[in-house]
Amino acid sequence: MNCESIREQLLTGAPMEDVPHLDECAGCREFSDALDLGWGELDRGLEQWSQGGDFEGVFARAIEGRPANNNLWYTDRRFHGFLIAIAAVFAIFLATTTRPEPTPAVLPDPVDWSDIEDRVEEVDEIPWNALSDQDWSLKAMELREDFIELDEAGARDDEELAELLFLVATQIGRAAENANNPSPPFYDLAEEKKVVNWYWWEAAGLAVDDPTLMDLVENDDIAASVNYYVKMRGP
Amino acid sequence: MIAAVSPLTDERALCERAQAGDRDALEALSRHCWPRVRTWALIELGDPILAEDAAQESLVAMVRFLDKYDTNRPFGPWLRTLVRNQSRTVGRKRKRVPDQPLPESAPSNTPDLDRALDMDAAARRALLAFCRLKPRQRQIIELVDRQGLAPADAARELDIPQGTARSLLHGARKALRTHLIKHLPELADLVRETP
Repeated sequence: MNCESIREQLLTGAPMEDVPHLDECAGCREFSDALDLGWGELDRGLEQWSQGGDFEGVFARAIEGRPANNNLWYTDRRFHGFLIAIAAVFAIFLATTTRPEPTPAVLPDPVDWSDIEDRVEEVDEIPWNALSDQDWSLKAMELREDFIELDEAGARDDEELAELLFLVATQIGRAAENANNPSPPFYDLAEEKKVVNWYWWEAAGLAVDDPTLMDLVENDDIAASVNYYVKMRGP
Repeated sequence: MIAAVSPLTDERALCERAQAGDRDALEALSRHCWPRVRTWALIELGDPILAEDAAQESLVAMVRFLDKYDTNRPFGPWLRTLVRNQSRTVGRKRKRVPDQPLPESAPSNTPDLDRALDMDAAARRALLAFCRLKPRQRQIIELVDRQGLAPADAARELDIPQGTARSLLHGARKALRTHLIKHLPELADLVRETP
């Protein structure tokens, strides 16, 4: 083995036990030692980073924002048990006297929305002429399901999720525009007088509540379209 | 005085006590999680200034949402998801201001970065070299080379095929070590001297 291949192995972390070359070649041995030293510094850096920060200050802030009702009677687990028992009796009563209705899915909390974020980014990067009308329709439908899921999870009332909801809406609007099929649910009558790109209309509604959302739109065409609706919906 | 948390199995007990309103347990749990939260935030974002913000927001969110955590589920993935979400939110907000590249090495003219990286020069440079990797590269280095997971386990953790994990690891190590040599002058000198 020559120095070049040894160093390549050292760089990529392949096993390097029992390699006589390292005993014989001072240069490669020093190269190996240098890498070990660098690795040690990184370990130290990460360790110091992890132990840093103003824990006390952050914890104090976290405590301030925490609902201060943990010791109240209605947060007591025994009371929760009592409530569950009452609810169970009521549910049995309802089940035996009324037709069952489908119940919404229970979302774990916190939810990992990264799949939706990835989909939004992925659609954002597709050039308008890279897909057929039908494929753009499919993209719009996929994103619409994400929009509904976020909406049902209360995204409008959550500052962080509202941003994602807004971005999903802008991309549904774009996909619908590229699909060239101005029909519901992607185009609909707004305020009973004008057919609009429904999800850009939704995005505009969110941007009226929080104008900083518009800063998230990097595509000038989308920004212009949503802004047009913002002016229509604005105060 | 808050007692240290030793085995991870204590996390569940601490969570239950914190959920029941025990403030000491909540503080002990938060203190125990703080280093992990900071490390994960840095791995997600690769930017110490943003990671500082994300770590703070993650801890605040952890305390705020702890009542909703189901103690029958493992705590680590719950916390990791929370950190990932907060990091993404902080990262998204960065897009609102012009990107400012990290300085190549210490010393920098950025007080925020100096505050975030309050450590000696060599460790700081090594950390900045780590930050230069792509997020996936940082993740696999953390899982395999720091936590000691087998590449196959890391692949499962990252939800990628094993072959992809191996090639990712290969590229990540090479990129990291190249950056280390570039950013640590003492190493660069050592390597330059070799034939």
